[in-house]
Amino acid sequence: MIGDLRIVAPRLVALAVSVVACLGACATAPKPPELETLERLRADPGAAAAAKRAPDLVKSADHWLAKARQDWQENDIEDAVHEAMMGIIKLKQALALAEQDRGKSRIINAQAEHESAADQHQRLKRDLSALNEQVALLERLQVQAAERRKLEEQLSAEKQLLDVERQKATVVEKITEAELALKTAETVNAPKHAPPLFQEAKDLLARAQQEVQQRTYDAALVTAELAKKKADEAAQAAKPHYQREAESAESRMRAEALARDAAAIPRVVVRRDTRGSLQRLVIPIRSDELFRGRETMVAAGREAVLDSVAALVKKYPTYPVQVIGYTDSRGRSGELLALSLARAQTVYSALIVRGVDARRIVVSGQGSSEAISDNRTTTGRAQNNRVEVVFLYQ
Amino acid sequence: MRRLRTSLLTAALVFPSIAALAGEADDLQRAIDVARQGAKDLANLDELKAAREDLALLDVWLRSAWTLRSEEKYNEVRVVLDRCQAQADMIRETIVASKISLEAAQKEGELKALRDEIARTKQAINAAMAKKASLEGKGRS
Repeated sequence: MIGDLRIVAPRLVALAVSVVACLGACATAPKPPELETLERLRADPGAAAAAKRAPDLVKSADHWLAKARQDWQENDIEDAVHEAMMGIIKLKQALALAEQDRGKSRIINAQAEHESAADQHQRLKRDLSALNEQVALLERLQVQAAERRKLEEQLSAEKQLLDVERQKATVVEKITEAELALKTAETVNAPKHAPPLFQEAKDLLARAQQEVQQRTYDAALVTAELAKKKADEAAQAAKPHYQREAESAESRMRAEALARDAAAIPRVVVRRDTRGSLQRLVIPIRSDELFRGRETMVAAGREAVLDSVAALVKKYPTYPVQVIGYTDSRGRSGELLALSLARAQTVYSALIVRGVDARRIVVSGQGSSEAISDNRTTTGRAQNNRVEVVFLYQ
Repeated sequence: MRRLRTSLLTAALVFPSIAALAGEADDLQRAIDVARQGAKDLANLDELKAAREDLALLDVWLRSAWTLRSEEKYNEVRVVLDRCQAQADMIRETIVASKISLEAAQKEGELKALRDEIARTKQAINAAMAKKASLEGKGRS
């Protein structure tokens, strides 16, 4: 028995080793990574879309997957790897096709949306452009309105300034007028003849000038006008006085000149007297200077005095002249009047002949009245027999 | 005579198969060359480098095919070449997909830019409307 065991034991050991070896040889090898990759890819959600897009490719991949699994189960690792790689390739190709479709779809969608968005953008740009134009227009309008307001303000300010200047010019003009009126009043000697009015006008003028300096033109205008009015009134008031004064002075000067010239006539004694308001310059010409005896005609060679008198009358043409004949008291009154008148007319005629204006001369015969000397003496009577040429003035 | 006959018979049987084998090797070499050229073209086509790893794998397999062809393991060469062809097809589709995806991304980018521009334009319109209202209010006052 033991001997049998000694014979059988090595055989059993060898059998056991063989069984173990056989079992080891029959055990499944580790799954190739390519197969794992294929399985992972196949389980990916994208594989479903790929199956729709490329069913043949995915079917082929599935076929390769099944074969790879089988070969792996049968420990044909090399074939299993090759088949897994083929499955991966097919599946990746199917995935790539699906990806292409997705990409194309994205492109189409993007293009469609782009077109729509481009339309919208164009509309919006047009709207914006229109709005911007409106805004620019409004801004321009506002700028123009502001410029117009500014211009109006400037114009208003300039107008105000102009008004002030115009007012000032008016006031200055009025003041000048008042000054002129005052000067005019001065020329008629208003300070003397209308002192209250003249002084008032002067004061008003000074006040107006002061008001101009203070730029109170309205008040200055009124004051200047008032000053002018007062100056005019003063001038009006003073004018008659002045004229009278002037005329009087002139008349006086003329009368003085007349008296001087009359006194220069030879053998004539000039006198001056007053009758009422009239002044008289009397040039008495003794009758014996002109006439012989009781004649009424000028004796020959005695006309020299008439020449001088005629020249004097013509030299002073503004004076009215009386030619009055006088006699002494001898004789009847009527005869004396006639004689005196006749002699006066003779002198008158002589003067007319010498160029004197007849309208200036009044002729009269006074007879023996207004004797200037004693009729009782010869000398006195000779003096009373006379023709008087009388210049009248005021 | 019998030996001669046997030799001739053997030669008649062996020479065509040798010639056939030589023709197959050339065919496989040409196929490998064509596949290599195709791989190069694909590499040039892959501007986005989307299939870089797959191209690298294709290159490895082509080298392997060349090695197997050198070892005259023609059946294995054919198997590898079949896989290379499938890989090349897959790579081509992957490259096309990447280009389409890029184009889609570009289009979507353009769309996004346009939408951003639309948003800015809308903002500008709102601002302009507010300004217009303000100016009109000023004009009335």
